[in-house]
Amino acid sequence: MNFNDNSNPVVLLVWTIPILIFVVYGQIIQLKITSIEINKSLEKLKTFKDDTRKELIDYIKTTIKPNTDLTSKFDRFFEYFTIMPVDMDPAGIVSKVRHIMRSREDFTREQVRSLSSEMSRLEASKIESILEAVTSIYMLYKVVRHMFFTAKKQNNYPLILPLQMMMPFIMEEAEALKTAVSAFKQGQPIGDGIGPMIVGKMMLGTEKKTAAFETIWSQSEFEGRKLYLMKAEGPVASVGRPADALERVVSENKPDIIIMVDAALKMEGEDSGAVAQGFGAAIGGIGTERFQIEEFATRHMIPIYAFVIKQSIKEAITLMKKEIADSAEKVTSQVYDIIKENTKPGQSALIIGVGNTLGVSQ
Amino acid sequence: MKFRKKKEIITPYSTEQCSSCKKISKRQFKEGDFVFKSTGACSSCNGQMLITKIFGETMT
Repeated sequence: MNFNDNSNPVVLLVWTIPILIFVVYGQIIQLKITSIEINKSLEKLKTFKDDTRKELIDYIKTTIKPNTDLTSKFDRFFEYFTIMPVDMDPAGIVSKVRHIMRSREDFTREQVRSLSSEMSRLEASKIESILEAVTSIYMLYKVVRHMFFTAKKQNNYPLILPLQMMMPFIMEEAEALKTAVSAFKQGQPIGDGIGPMIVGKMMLGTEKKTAAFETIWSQSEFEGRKLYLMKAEGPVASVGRPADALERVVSENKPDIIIMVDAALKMEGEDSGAVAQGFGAAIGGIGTERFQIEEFATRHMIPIYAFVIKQSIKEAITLMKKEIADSAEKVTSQVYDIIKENTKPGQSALIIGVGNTLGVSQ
Repeated sequence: MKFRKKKEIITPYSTEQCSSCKKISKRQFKEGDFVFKSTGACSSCNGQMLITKIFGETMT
């Protein structure tokens, strides 16, 4: 038998059979390989979900020592959902979204507070933050599982492709949330707290007044200019209500410029802790606070300057990295430069430190 | 080819600074620490020590 001969039927079969198999079953083979990879990630997500749930329940048991078993109560919390308002007629939707989100926050706060009457606000805020992280991991797990099972059930390869592409990003977020639980438990500042840390330092030694729920402000002076300083009230885990607070401070004091300092997601290749300066309301979240700030500033014709400190999603919600903490001095000096360049002596500036002020006082 | 991520160990530190002599000291984070907390008297000048930073340093 001559195996070098292309006309040999055995050699022909060796070539053609795999080609035929791949032509007919290629998509199914690829679906199986992709399924194995996604299944591994799904298992990892399940571990994250179970571990963080256990961490939260253990934390509650050790810190507030409840008389009853709270496991079933918390299992109900993890399943809570939020129905966003109808957007077919978008007029007035921002106030509806704000109302729904605040109702949810208020409900969670009250439920956590009801666990123990002796619990401090700091302790309650830590539990609320951990609860938020665990609920987010639950949601990620449920969405990934739904998409994966649907694709498998329908044997639908195109349906599994977007999931395969999104998986690394979903896992990055889930890992960040899992790591965040440890920082929340110990009350350590997170990357997002850099804005409140910068403004908190400027507030040292000044008289603090309440501007809105969990948001404080104070007055200071700089080279003949009046400074109004504002941040969430630390060291509890809170972002406060900067838009409500801004409305009050602006109505009472009419500042000439507004400066907002916040953390921002960096692009790949950018350094953590890099500082960028720009214009507009630097504030994240669902968008209701930003809308309110923009509308109020526009009505009063006050320019808004923004400083952002770059970081990854993981750095933003986990223990503050040294590079981010070290950027504080640089940002502070740039804030003072902006005040000098854009106001004259006798004028005033409102400086807002935006972000979660966990572990950062003032 | 997949790139394996190195396992990161992050150690939390607190930096304290004296409000009078500006002496800075760094120590491991203790539970109850928060930024701008007064931590007692300075060992050099008896001024007020304040936590100025809390951060994590990565060890690989």
